[in-house]
Amino acid sequence: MPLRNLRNDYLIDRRIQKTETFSGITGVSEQDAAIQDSQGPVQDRTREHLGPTDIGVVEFRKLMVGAARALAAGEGPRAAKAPDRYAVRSGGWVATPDKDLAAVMTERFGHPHGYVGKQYGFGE
Amino acid sequence: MLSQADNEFLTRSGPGTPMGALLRRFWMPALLSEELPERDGPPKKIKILGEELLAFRASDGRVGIVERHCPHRGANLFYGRNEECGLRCAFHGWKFDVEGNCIDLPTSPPESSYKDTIKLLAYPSREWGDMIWVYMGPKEKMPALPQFEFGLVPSAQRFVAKKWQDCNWVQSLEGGIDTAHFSFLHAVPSKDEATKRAVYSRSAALGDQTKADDRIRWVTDDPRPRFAIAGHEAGLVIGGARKTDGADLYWRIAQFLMPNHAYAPAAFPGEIYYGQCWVPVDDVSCWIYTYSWVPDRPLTNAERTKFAGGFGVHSQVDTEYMPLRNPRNDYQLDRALQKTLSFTGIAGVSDQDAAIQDSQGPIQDRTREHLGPTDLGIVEFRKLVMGAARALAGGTEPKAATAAKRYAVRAGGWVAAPAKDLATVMTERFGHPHGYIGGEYGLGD
Repeated sequence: MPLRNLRNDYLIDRRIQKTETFSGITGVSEQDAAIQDSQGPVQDRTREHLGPTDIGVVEFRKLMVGAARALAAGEGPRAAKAPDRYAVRSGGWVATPDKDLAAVMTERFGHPHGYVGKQYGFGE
Repeated sequence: MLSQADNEFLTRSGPGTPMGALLRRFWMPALLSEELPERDGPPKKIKILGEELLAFRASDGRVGIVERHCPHRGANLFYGRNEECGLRCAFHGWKFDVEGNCIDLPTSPPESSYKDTIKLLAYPSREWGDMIWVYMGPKEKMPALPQFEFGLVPSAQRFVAKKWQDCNWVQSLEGGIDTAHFSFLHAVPSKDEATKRAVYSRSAALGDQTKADDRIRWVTDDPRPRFAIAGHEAGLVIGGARKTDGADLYWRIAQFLMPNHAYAPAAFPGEIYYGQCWVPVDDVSCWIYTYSWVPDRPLTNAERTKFAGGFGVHSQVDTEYMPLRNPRNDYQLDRALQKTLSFTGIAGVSDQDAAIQDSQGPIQDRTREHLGPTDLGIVEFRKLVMGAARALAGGTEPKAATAAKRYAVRAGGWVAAPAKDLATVMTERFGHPHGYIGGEYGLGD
């Protein structure tokens, strides 16, 4: 049970919020928890207004909802049968502006999806 | 006795209910000013009429009362930053002013007009009488602030406070306009007059007298006040007449002011006036705003200390405005005291009221009640507010909402010859049949 939680308003310190941290809550994890809990027990997405920085959220929902729909129609999720493909990394990099995501990933991880399975004896 | 349907109609005030619609045509106290003491201070979670809201005092001192959830992805703005004339969401920095306008949307390109399409629900607010008022109805119907005398006098001449109550607002208000119960609920069963007076003086306005008289005894001795009711533009004058030692009658006259205020009936000329306002939190709890004022002198520090410690309508509360005597501790009912000095065994008139009103149930079942002649004020109150709510549902706006100056009235006590009717008694006591004193504040006749 996180020590900073919904029952104690994540021990938000309004003085620290003025001076040291954006949220006034100690710990990145608890800052996340506070905001996510604060969206409600189940976020009401009928009232949200997404923008360009929310494209990851949009694609995540498409992927999950699409997979659940496909499964309901009898088509199992491919990811469940691709255990090797979980051998990936994520991280940061600095690149010239003409490079696309695949090129940046390849520079950073040696593979456009960050696949590192070969290092552990998995295939290409 | 009401039908179950009428009881629901009377007591439910959430969004979409007829009584909720009526209440939303009037300004309501949302907070005491002292609850938002500093500019750019922490926002405060509030709940009114079933709506969960946030209140914050911006850099310029204005108060915003807004919905809690950011329109972006629904994060609660309570965790946001109150800075530079707006509340900024802690999630992605979207920022809103006190009117709910989106004034910064840093996740969209600066040239984007997306921000102009985003609006946070915000209700108009006003600060007056050391309270923050909110209007939650349709913008085009927003009335002027009702001119309660406690807000008209200088700050030094008033005391405002609030207390939590664990029941539906209507039964608590009905307790406030029911002046018959004083013969019992607040009684001091001692036979000794001096003891009786001493106990009253510690807890009740009735005992806080500027001149010696026999009001305590009259209230105790006559449990059957005869009621007379007079309607006016802002509400009801509710008079209850008790026997005195001679032929005269002792009148205790309360005011109900639409839709949720009541004035106490005790004050003789020169004494302190008391009122209360019931603001539903939801259907089973409410905030009661309590206020005292004097028309012509500052309140003393001793009086303020006495009120803050629990006196008359004011309850002794903790820093969150929770009464110290409450249903979690059976109002600290003392059975030994109940045998000797207190009809209830509960200390404090306000807490005696709270105990009885809570005890009627979260929402009193009015299908099982049995009303009598001393409940006339309650009957007339219900007729008035239910009639107004029905009329509003039928498209007729409540007249009281636009009669702001008609709230400048007083309530109190008087001794008069038995032949005199309520209007005559009111005119003797206040100079006006409805107790209107707006003329003293330049509000006209």
